[in-house]
Amino acid sequence: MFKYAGIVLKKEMKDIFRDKKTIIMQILIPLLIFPIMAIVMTFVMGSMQKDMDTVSEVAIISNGNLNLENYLKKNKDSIKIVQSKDIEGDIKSNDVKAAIYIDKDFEKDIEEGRKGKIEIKYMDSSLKSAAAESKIRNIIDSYSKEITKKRLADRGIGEDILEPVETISKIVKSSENEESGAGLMVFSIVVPMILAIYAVTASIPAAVDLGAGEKERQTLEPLLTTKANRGSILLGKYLAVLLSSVIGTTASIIGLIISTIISPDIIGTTGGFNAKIGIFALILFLSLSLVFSGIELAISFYARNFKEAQTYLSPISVLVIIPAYMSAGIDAFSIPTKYFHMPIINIIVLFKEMIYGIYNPIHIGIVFTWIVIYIILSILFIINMFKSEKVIFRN
Amino acid sequence: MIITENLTKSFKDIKAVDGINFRIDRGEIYGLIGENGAGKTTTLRLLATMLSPTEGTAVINGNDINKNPDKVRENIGILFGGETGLYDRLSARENIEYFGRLNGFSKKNIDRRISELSDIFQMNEYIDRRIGGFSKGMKQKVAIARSIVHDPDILLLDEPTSGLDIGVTRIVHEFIKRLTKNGKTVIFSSHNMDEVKKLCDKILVMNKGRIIYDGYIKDLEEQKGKNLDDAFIDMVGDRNV
Repeated sequence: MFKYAGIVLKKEMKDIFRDKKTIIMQILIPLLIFPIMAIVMTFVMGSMQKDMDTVSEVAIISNGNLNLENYLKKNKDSIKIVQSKDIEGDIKSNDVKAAIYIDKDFEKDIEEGRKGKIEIKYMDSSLKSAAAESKIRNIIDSYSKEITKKRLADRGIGEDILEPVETISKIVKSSENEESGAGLMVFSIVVPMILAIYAVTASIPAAVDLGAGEKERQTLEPLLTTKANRGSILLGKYLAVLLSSVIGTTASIIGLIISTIISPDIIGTTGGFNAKIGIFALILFLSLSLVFSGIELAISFYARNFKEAQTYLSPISVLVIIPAYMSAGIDAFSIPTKYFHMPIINIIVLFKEMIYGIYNPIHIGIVFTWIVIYIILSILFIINMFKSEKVIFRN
Repeated sequence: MIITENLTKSFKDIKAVDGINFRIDRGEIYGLIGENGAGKTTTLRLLATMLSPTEGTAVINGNDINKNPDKVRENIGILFGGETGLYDRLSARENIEYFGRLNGFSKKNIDRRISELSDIFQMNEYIDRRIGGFSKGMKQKVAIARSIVHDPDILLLDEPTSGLDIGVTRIVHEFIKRLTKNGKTVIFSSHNMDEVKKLCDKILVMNKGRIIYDGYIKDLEEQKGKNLDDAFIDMVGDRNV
């Protein structure tokens, strides 16, 4: 049986990798998508930072309140005061990034110990306008603090009265991992999600080609007349689909690693990767591939042709994206036991725990028991499909 | 040798093959004729163990299709008409080699066999090219070579000349004649009575899943006093009334 399965596997892999579409979908896209995202993110972040660093053109209607106007003018590194005849129009056209309207009684109110009013007009849909508004607020904040200081000093009161409580936050490290907690949190959300999605969807093109594709090309019937029994043929095809999944997932991991070289913050931290985590990732997400390779191949055999198989298999990506996103909001340090019983989520949250160095034997036992059950069910499903004449000759 | 005993195949309430019994000896070439839906393809699929019988059985070279399907398949080659069922991204050699390996042949024997077949069917020029760019005739030659790479004793041919032009049809006919000269047993189904008369001595006529004639073409024509075409219409027409 294994001899014939090996023959089928070898031929299927040769056939799969001679298909340009497969090379693009299963290797190139997973390999390149993250580095491209990293480049785009770096560019966007850089652009946003540039907007913050660039001097913003701002109009002022001071209504004679020269103290504040002069204070604003001193901040030449942040804002540049410009004239405008049509402030709203100039804001809309981005010639002026924001406008400051100082109430006519502003300085009188300040003098008499009341609140002075200032209005800032800007366009929230424009990044540059929003950046200008933020800069103006910072400048006015500083001005406001100076007024407060002066008011307190006039009354002979120290500044400390404004902050009766001093709060100091100290970080307790979650693991021997010296990486920043915030970075590791992002890593624990992003990486399991990506691995789960690829482990499940990377096998779909191969499953479609090896099941429904064979039916459509009418190559399945001659195959069934060879000496090799159906079990061998099925095993060879299943291994080919599984191997495709592993290759696709590996390509996505390599792409992710390349993306961290371009933009280290894209997954929070690179410190989350180590050999132990790598091995657990391999075991957990390979088991997901084992389950879904079987399910996808079975569904593909049921379909009459390529198009029908793709229609049936497309929703599978939703089946994994929903639990993957659900798991994003779960705190790795207090995962309710019920999550370890839920398909797909259980693998993601177990991996999440492991990223933080938590190796709970009960959780591990529960998840691996379910994994064994899923694999058995998946194999039974595909055997039943392939044995059924109604399914195999359904075209 | 092929012997069927009450071979039956039902799909839900429809008996596609209804208790057929026949015997084909070694070296005979039988035509399997009948209207569309008579049960010809189902019969061939049963003999090839692609389908399991609902009742009855067949014994091919001493192996029962229910008990030893793997052994049965060792001894048969099958060729379909219409689509040739070849892998476009593999070369002609790779296609033939794949089926040779799946039929238990060693690499050494397959290489020798492919070389022989390539000479017989004049495929040397394109044996290592990918099937994707082949004409229908070239593909049919490769499909023929694939069906006999493991040198089976029995050939099942399901409308092998369907959709082919005259040149390629002639190639298929020569192939069938060569098989019988080499003592192979052949069953081939066809709608073309001229082809059946040309190549076969005996025929099985099927109608609504049953065999309504099993014997020599000559005897049928004498019995009915008509040529094969008219005799066939006569038989099938009687039963359809």
